[in-house]
Amino acid sequence: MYSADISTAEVVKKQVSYKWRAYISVFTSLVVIQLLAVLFSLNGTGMSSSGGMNYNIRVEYYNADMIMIFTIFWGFITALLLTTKAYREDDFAFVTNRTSGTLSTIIYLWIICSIAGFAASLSGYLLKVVVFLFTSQELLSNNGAEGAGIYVMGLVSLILTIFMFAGFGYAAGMIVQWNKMFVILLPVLFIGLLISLESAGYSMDRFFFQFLFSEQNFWLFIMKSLAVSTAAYVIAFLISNRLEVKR
Amino acid sequence: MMVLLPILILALVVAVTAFSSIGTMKMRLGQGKTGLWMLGGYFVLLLVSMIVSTFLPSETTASMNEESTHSKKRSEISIPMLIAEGKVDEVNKDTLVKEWSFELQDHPLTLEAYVENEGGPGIFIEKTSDLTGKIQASYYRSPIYVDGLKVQEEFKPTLVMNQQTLTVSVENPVDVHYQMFTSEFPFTQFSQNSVGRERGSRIEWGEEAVYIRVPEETEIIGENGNYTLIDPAA
Repeated sequence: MYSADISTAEVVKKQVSYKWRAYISVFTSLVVIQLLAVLFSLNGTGMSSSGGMNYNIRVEYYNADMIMIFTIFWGFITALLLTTKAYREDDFAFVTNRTSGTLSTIIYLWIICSIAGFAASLSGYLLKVVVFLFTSQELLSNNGAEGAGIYVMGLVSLILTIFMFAGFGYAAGMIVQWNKMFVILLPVLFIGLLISLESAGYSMDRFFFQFLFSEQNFWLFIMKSLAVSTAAYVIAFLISNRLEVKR
Repeated sequence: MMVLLPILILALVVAVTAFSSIGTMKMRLGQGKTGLWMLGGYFVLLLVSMIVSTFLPSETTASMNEESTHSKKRSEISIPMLIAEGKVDEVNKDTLVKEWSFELQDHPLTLEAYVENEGGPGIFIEKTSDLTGKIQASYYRSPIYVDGLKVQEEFKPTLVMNQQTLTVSVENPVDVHYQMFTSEFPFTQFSQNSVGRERGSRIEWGEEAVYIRVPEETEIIGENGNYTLIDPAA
């Protein structure tokens, strides 16, 4: 018997606050992974060499692509881990149901993905300084994209991408929690599907990466990535509703 | 399947790191501020890097549109063609890299050319009545551009006069090494400049020529094809 009704919004708010404090170590892994990616990026992302007119010109390319890709994977793994039994049971520290529990996790994921995306967007500067310290050579910047507008659009798209992959991780984790058989089945199905589609001439590159990452219209990209993310989180939510309490 | 291998390795690295850090988070519940401190410290590091990077010696290469404008202007000028047609005066003076002057006692001149790599400069010889007892040589080269950025390192051929033999050596190419920072994929996706941009630099090699003026009555002894005699009448 409660003397006051607690609204779902309040429960969600409290759960998000609790998760922020309880899972603060996710940032340790984020920092470690981004620094690891900076280390890997020191090798450069490519190199081109040309000779002519008595010159041998060698250009080494650097960017923070790898740091961003590592961060996207971090989002996937972190969300996957949050679906494990120990974390799901944390929700029951409050008067709650599956809806508020899942909702608070999604909001929490959005917050950490935003922080991760922001850190990744700045990591290019760290890479630049480290490369300069190691080589002490003049750096060239080939900024095909610069300006505040481009930065904001890039940042938003990066955060949405991390959040989308976190959604995949969350959905995959929920599927595994639903039936442990999927620990093996899910990767097999995924890789098998990729190979089948590839051999049938329908590559993942065409159907997924080009659909999202070749989209040059910012608003269309937002709509597409949000649609894909929503689908992933809805699947996770539906499955979480099928899980027994304290399973 | 080979395409998936790097992705799987990457996933493994990230998963191992994430599991090793996050896996212990339950145990740290209530006592762990480490994550927050690490994140704070990392952001400070990123902000310091951002400030420091603005002071690093760096140059920004031209965008694709600027590059095509430069290309168009440059392609209009052909140094070897102008020299071959005897229009040396029309060659841009900025492209003159070095000049030489040598005494020539007798009239026969033997020309030797050593070019280490293929595609060395063309050697053009003009017989002129303006000169007596000496020869003059000039090396012209239009700049090389890497993504619209002028290469500063200079190459000059070596010209040596030994009695009646002029040796033009094009050896020891200049090694130029650049480290280019490109925009990351989320930032190029919505940029118009990135449309069709492929990995790799656009190098504009420019043109070069060695122009030699000799007295009118000089007999030139050289191997076939190692020089072009300018015929003002042509």
